[in-house]
Amino acid sequence: MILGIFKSRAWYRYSSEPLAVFGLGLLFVIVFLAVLAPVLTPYPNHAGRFVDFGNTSRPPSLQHWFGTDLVGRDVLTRVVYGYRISLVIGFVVLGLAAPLGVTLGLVAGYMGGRFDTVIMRITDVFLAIPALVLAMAVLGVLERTLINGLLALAVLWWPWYTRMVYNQTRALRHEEFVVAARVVGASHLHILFREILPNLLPSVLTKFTLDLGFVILVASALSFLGLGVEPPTPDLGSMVAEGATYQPDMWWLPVFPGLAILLVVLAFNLVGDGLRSMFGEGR
Amino acid sequence: MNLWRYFLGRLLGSLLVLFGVSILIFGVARLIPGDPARIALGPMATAEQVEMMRERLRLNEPVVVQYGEFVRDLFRGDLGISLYTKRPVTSDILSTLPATFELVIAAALIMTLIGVPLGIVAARYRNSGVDRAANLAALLGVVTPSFVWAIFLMLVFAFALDIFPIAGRVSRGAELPPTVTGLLILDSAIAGLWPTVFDALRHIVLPAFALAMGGLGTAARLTRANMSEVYDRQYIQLARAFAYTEREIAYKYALRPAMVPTLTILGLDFAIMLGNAFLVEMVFAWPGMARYGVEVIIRKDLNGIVGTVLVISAFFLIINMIIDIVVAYMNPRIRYRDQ
Repeated sequence: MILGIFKSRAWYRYSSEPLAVFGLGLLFVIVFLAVLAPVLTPYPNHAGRFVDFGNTSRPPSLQHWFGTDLVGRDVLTRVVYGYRISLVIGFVVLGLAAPLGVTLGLVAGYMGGRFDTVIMRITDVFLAIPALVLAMAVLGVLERTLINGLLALAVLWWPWYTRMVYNQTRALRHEEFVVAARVVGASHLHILFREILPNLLPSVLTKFTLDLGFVILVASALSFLGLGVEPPTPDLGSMVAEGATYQPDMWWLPVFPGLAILLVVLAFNLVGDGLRSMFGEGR
Repeated sequence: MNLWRYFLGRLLGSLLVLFGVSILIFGVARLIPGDPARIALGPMATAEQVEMMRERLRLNEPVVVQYGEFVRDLFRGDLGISLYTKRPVTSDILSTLPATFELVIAAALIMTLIGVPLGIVAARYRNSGVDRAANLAALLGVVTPSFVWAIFLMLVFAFALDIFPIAGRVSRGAELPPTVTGLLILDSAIAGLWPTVFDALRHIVLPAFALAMGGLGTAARLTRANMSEVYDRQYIQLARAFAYTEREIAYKYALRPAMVPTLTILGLDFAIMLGNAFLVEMVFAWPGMARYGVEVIIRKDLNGIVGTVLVISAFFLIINMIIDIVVAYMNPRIRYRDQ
């Protein structure tokens, strides 16, 4: 059943891009590591409040591939655990933002008139504040918990979906299949979600995949500024921030978590690009 | 004439958006749990002191009245007193904004002057080694957070190779020019202090590149994509048939229409840079708005947060307006369509 995917036309088109295949492989490795972190990492107990003052700030070695941090914790273990948080943040934020943004975009684009004006003006306001600054402000005023962090990111991400879906819906709303559905008496809800939405799914899915990387990137930027999850939870952004103070002597502290962020964003980007050309939107 | 009407329309639109932004951020700042006056004064303050502070911040009035007063003060350039520095937010921001602005301008220049030509070369020699290298560089630029770029660049070029200074805006003991524009490099040049100009340039290279890398990649990829599209048009074939040189075709016929969509996205990148400047400034101890911005947020400084976000958004809107107008100037169809 599952292996059937590899015989499909979609996979054939996807796999014609070597970089997209590489990205998918990279993504599988990252997700695999993150999910099985307790089994795969060499020192799972180092993910929490562990200290070993006999073993602090060791450079990379065979026992500790990425070295150890200031309190003797294995950096590799913490990086892998950092991926767990990052992936959760990515999926939860977009799981909230994308459906909301898509729905608003559909309504504004299809209904037009007052819906259009109100929704799109509000969208403009959100898009007029640099994403990172808006997230900082929201996080700044709320209590600094993981839930609030997720909400802050979701609040700044929905307008991008609204704008994209809005533009595409407007292009589609006078198409013959929409008019035909209306003629036979289909409800607005049916037209929006059964007639128009399926046409938009490829671009929404592509954007969703690309954005998973970018949400992780922005989340790491926020925690780099000290607005992320509380220690001792391993978080890639705050690991970079802590380590930055001790470079160049302890270069491994910021470099490996930094590379880890780069790789996960790269993986989602390559897969997203691959999906785009698979759906035939490539330039 | 049409351009003027277009300009006025955009100006009005931007002001409306800014009005919306002010409501949004004012509302967000009122979500602070607990009493902002109490937070500002600390646990040692007496109830009377807190009450006086509440009075001064007008927290006892209805939110709508608070907002009205806020807008009235705003028109006089008054953003209130920062609860953290105890000085007017306006002067706090004005003292740090030029440094951030200088950094963002430098980054925007790097992004455009390197990214766009890179895209042109990639489009002219499609699927060549140059194209693939440019694509890879662009991809790395986009997927690496600017603070990670900052750390990598610092490790390699400041610590290992020792080519550029590690941090700061200018060396200690450098002769500083009188403030004219607030942009140190420009001011030094005006005052004729060439050693300071050179020193400041050396300091800005690494942070500016760290900030520019993301946008640089986007600029290159966009220019390439848009130019490739133009290259497939028939009039390019016609130009080839008339034996125009490849150089002429690239710059005279392919670049200009390709730049229109590219410019719009570059405006968005500029906005991203205004935000990312916070990250890069923290790494390089650049004396811009970042430290202040992060500090007011962590200390839940009501007025400071509202002021910082508002100023950054205003800059973002102004830049986007300028870009829209340039685009409308380059592509007359836009000004006619929008009427």
